[in-house]
Amino acid sequence: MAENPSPPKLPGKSQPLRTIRATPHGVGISSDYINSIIDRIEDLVLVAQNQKPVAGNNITINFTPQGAVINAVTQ
Amino acid sequence: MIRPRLSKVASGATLTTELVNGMINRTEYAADLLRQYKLTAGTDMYVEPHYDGTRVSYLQPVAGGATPRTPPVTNQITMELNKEYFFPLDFDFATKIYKLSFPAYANSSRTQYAIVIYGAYWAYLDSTPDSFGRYQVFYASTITSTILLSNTSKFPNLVTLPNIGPHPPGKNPNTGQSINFWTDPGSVKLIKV
Repeated sequence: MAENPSPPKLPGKSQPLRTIRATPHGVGISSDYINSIIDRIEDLVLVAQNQKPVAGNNITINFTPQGAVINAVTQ
Repeated sequence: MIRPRLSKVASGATLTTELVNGMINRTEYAADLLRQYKLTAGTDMYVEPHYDGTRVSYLQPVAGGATPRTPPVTNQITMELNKEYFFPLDFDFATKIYKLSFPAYANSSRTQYAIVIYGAYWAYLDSTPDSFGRYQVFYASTITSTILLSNTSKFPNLVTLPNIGPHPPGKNPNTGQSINFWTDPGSVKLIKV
């Protein structure tokens, strides 16, 4: 059975974050873990900043707080 | 609001509220961008989510995916390039004034266009203006009309054709009246005004 290809890899070097487990005496968080969160956030920012739609031929894009509305140019 | 890039922390650093808030703000900044860029289809479009991306298409199939087809509207006929269209003359010619609307992209390469009204008379706009910048309209009947166009170098996007009708005054129309409209290249509209 044909399968969809894997999605494009997220830009950057970050890896999916692991959740942490609570303990009765609290959890120690390493700087490495904090930095992995920061890396992940920065990669997401990079993805978001590069997702801005660009109009092609006979297409207009109107950016609104609710989303980018694309329209066909009919004239 | 743009939030500043997060700096790495050093080993032994304290997890401060400033750092946590910085992470939250930076995450919300990215989320806000993604919300803005979420595509919503407008007129004649639809958005099709795919596993590996979002596809945007016209509602109607379009050759080459570049030129949308314009649905016909009242008092307006839309035609594509290099095709002949036949319309019954129930298209109201009572006003006898119509406009030809051409897309701007077709203006540079268009060489000629013509209106043919079968069973009555036909009109043809020559591709070469005369010394006064006027394009001649010839009718199959003995009537010849001149239309003054504002753009003397190219066919304008909008041309007013006066006195276009199923048959000229005093002439008896033949049977099977229809209008045949063609152009090259580019789509064209016949708009009643």
